[in-house]
Amino acid sequence: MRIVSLKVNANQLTLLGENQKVFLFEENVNIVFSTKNSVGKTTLLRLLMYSLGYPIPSTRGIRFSDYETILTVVGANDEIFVLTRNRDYIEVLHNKEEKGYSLPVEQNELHSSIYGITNLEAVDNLLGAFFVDQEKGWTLLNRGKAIGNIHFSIESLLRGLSNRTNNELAQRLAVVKREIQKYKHMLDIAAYKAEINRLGETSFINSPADDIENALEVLYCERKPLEEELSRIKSVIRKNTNFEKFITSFKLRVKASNGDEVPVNKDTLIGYGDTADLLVAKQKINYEQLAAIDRKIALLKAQQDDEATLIDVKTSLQQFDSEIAKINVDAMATQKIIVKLEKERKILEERVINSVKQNNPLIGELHQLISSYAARLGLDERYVSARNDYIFTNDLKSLSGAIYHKVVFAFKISYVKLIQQHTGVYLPFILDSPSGREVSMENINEMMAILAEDYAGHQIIIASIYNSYAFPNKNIIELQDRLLPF
Amino acid sequence: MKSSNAMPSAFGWDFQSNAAIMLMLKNIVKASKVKVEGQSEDVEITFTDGKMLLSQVKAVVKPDDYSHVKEKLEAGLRTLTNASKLADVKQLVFVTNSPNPFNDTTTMFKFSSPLNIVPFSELPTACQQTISDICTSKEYDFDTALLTVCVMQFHGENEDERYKVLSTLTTEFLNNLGVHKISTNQLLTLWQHSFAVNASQLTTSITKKRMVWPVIAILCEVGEDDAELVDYDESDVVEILQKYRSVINNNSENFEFISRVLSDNNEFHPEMKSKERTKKFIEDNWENYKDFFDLKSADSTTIEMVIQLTVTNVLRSRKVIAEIKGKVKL
Repeated sequence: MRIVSLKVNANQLTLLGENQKVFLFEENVNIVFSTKNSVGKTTLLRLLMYSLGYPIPSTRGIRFSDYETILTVVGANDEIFVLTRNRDYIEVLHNKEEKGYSLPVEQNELHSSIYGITNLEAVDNLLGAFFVDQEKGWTLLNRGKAIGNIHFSIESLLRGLSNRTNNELAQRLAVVKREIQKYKHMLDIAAYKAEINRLGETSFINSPADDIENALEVLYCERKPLEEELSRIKSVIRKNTNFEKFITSFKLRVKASNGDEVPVNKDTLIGYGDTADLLVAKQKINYEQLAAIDRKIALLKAQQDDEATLIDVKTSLQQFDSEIAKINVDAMATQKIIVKLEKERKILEERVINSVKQNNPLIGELHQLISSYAARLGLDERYVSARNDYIFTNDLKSLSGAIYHKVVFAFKISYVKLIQQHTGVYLPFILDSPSGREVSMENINEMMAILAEDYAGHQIIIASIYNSYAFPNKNIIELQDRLLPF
Repeated sequence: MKSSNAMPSAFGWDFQSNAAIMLMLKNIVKASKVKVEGQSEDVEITFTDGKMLLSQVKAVVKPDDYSHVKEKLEAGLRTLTNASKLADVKQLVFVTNSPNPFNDTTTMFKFSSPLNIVPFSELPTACQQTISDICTSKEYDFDTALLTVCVMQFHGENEDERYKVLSTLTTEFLNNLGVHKISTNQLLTLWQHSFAVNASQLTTSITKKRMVWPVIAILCEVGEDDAELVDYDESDVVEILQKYRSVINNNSENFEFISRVLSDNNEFHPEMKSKERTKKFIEDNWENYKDFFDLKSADSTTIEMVIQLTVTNVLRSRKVIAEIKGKVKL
């Protein structure tokens, strides 16, 4: 795979009229060059990766999502792919067919088709192999982050290249790692809780104010049906009174059997007085029940007012503390779970690594490549062990800057070579500022010589403030002032 | 009404209003109303014949403190002398919670029960002598035959303890009415609150009617009693009562509805025996009252149950009202 050209379009029209810039790349060696720093060499390299569909963090001053990028590459089967990226959508023109991909979901699928590599685990680890970013690239040896959040792992790459991907194992490992993270957060909460307990700041957690609030809530709930019943009784009383007034208004008189004349009114209507008394009594009972509740409410409200004058309203921090204190976390148990999970994680990781390591000829091949390049860069066995599993080393801290720089270089080019040998894909090799970090010019020249000799089939893109590297047919892309004038 | 030490006046009022309840209950058949005057520590009971019982109520905060009991007795007798001048007085009562109202330990045996009501003639001689001496020296002149000394236990922070005598009296009252489904506590609290509401005015008058009607009201509440005559499953009744209580109440308290039911019932087979008659009346007539009920969303069984329960409640309430009123001569 190699890059042919990058066209950058401004998404918004600009005042200058010029809103497009094209960078052309040659088949062999390209030097992105500027005499000064901070004109955009790193940005251009990152922009290349962005336009290839990777989630690359923007550099200062240029937000990639503000631009449309059109990248032309020679990809799988030596065919032309044109990738047009707008934010999280990338459109690929290939063989006169257009296909759209959503990023980051379909990233692996996209890259698989462009690189022509089917094993997704291998595809996932390509960038870390061929792209050496200025920031993290030179510190990444065999596992870690290549740039932004893009991971690289030598085990994963080797698994992919040797088609030993074990999804079950990998998934379990991912789950365990996630769980460990979560339990660690839980432990943080427990620690926080312990801290506020230690400082004795929990007094307000079950504060009288909360208790009063709860008690009031309960009382209001009890009050409501009583209130409804009271208004119901009142309405019946009204209805009865109206009925009696209506009857009385006729001024009817009736004759009793003994001949007495009796006026029809509330005193003579049989049962009316009892009904009225009954309702008054019901109302009374109801009123007493309400009054009892209201007395309690008034008492609590008075307490509440007293408190309000004494204590300020809770700050949001206190509120937070009180919420945290309500969470029940058993620190000891959590700690135990973490320890258990950590053990499982180690076992799983070992199993994952072993699944790669066992009888895998690629390890030998990769080690062979790394050792031979290291030797050419003047690193003997003191630095690069003769043992095959050295390539999985974790011991990096002991290496000094210049030596580490060379070790990284040896590893990276070996990855690219190994990938080429096992997939047939000639990846480009992209280096940002290889001349930094106390590396002597001699060593740089040796590194470049290796590239010139052994990597003639690969496209090489180097960003540097030097353009004197000894390559035949080098294409110099000189940047002046600003990378993008819009 | 709790802390007696801090608020002797509140304690005094509590004792006074409870003494009023006690005196009412002791005279419930003949009494018609009771008046409590905080200022003068009076409790007046008016009887249906217009005659009066006048009472002086003196509380001691600590039952074992006898240092002021004699002064209280003297003050009480002074007021009662003045009261005795009024026409229609037929009884004078001195009420206290001190177990030793005469500050004479030899006579304490007479006041050792929870409630002791002792007419002058039955007082120990020493006590009679004490009263006579006070009257002579202070020139109080009233007919001692009218006087009764009453000692009611009433102390402690714990309400159960403090109101023990009142609870017993209330239970007795309910038993005499043949009422068992009302809690003593509920009724007593209701009565006490009737006085407490007016405590700030320090004068309260409560009629017998106001004391007795809550009992009737509680008894008339629609409930499982109303399902006795109709054959329904208990759990169905509970469910209906829960859902349709206010529909039932709205009708059973509606005078127009009550009149219709009572008139219909009056004319219904007067020759039949009461219980069977009521049962048959409900079965035959309930459908006539459908217009009163707005139960569109209910099924036919539910409608039948709601109406039958309402009619039963109306008829039962009439019986309850007549019974209780008859027993207390209301």
